[in-house]
Amino acid sequence: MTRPKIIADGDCGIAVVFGDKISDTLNRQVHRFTDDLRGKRLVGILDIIPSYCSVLIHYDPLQIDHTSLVSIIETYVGSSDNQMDEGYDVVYLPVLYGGAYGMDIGTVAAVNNLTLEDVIRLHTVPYYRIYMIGFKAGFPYLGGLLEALETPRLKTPRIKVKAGSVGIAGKQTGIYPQDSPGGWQLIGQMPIPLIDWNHPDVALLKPGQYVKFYSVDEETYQALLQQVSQGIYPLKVVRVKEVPK
Amino acid sequence: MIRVDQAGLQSAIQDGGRYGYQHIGVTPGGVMDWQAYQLGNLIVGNQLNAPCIEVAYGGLELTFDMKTEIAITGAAFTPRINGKAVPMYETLYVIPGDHLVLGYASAGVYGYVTLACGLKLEKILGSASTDFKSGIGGIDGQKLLTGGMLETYQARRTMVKKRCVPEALRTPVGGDIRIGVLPGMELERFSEDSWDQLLHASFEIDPSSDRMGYRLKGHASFQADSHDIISCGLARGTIQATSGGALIVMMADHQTTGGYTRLANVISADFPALAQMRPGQTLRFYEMTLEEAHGRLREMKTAIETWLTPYLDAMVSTSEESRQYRITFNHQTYVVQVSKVEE
Repeated sequence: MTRPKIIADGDCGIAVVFGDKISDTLNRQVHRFTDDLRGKRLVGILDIIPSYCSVLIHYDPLQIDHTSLVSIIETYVGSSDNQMDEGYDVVYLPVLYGGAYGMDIGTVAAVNNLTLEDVIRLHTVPYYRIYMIGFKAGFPYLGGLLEALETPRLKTPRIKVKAGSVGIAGKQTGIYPQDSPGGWQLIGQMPIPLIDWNHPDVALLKPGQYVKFYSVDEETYQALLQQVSQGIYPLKVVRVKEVPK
Repeated sequence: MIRVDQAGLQSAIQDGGRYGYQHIGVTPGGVMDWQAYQLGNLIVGNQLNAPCIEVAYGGLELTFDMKTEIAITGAAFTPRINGKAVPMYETLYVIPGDHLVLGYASAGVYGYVTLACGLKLEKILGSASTDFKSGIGGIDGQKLLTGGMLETYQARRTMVKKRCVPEALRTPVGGDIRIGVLPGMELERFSEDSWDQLLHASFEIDPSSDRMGYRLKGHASFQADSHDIISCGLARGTIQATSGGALIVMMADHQTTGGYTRLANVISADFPALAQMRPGQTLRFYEMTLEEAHGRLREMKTAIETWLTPYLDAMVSTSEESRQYRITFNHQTYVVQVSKVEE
């Protein structure tokens, strides 16, 4: 394995670059290093942002000087290499597919010569890796969409897409954390909020976890919505040693 | 309480920012011009990161129902209290019924009203900053509304001797501005002359600029081998080049991650001056090294401390229960705490 590069990104940022492609192996290194460094609770580090194949460390140069921080990073980059992950969280997320809840499911089916049932089946097969969270609070960048479901974005983005909408855009699938404009092909609705500002964790999902979607009917969906509004809802998270392929 | 008689164009509660949550996509936000904001807090004896009112362009009018110290810093306003002109960057003493009219800035964009009485606000993830996109922080996650009330802590007696910030310490506003830059993460992916072009061309702030990003208009076009990179964490002050060759500087409310090639980074010491630039105003970039950029920050900190020290020889801090004084005696400095004895 090549040694990660440590590069100054402005005068308050240090990027640790593990590679330049999207791969599970690189991303696992990214998250191991992130967890290690976060665990040290160093004074002067304001934020640690893991992404596909690099980590951006945001620091206050008046609290920790650049040279010492670089040497600390070098230590942890080395030590993170040899570790094995202790396991992975798989978060099971319910989705009500199609109809008014996923109005573009027909487009996704038509573009790929599939039936609606095929789209649901193929979308619920993979264990999607959360490579990173960004763009908007709580938005997971998911990897692992099957090629059979790839669909171009809408030509004209919608002015308002509801929070919880599950969509497909090109090779990506994702969930909208908040109401926002958006151009993804919408295939369903996920009732559990991705962002809860009053919850200590704030974001439902964490980078490095896996997401597995499962299809629910309208009745179950409505019941879940009801529970969510009362602040008590079931969330299935399973710790696995290896993620099934 | 403070009544918002006129909210102005875009006034909102801001503080030092919501750090520590960028890994889950929460933008740190906070004030645009940290220099003017921090000075504003120091002028009234606050902690550096106390919540303030950030005003874009002006139009804010407030009525106070208590006695407290306030300061107005940032863009060039012509503030008046009860119709009488009052200076900027100086401790102002208000009493119940006082009416502040901020006016409109003749140069610069962002003004800061800092208050010794403190604003009573619910913090979200450790910050009171208004995050417009997520609709959190400040007052209901949005800009101040005309007719609204701001809750304050109990009125304090006047505690701070008049403090005035010298011109040299203030954020420069108006005129031609020079901004220091460091090479960006993907500089080598741009055509060879790109760095020289960046340093020798002049740029204009585009009208579409906002708290998220400042778009730069110029004759130079910046072409990279590809304008997309694999999405990754984004630093404040980063200058991204889009596929059209346009440059965008990441400002306070920038997204936490991005996927455009990065040509350069604005140094933190010049970020306040950039934040104060208006659409149409021109700027030039100059080259810095990382060491120089850090040196500039340290110099600013030292200059502020040097200015503040004589004032601190009186009082350090105050609360309902006690007050702390710093006293220098025989070249030795002591902090003395004074509390009221119950009778």
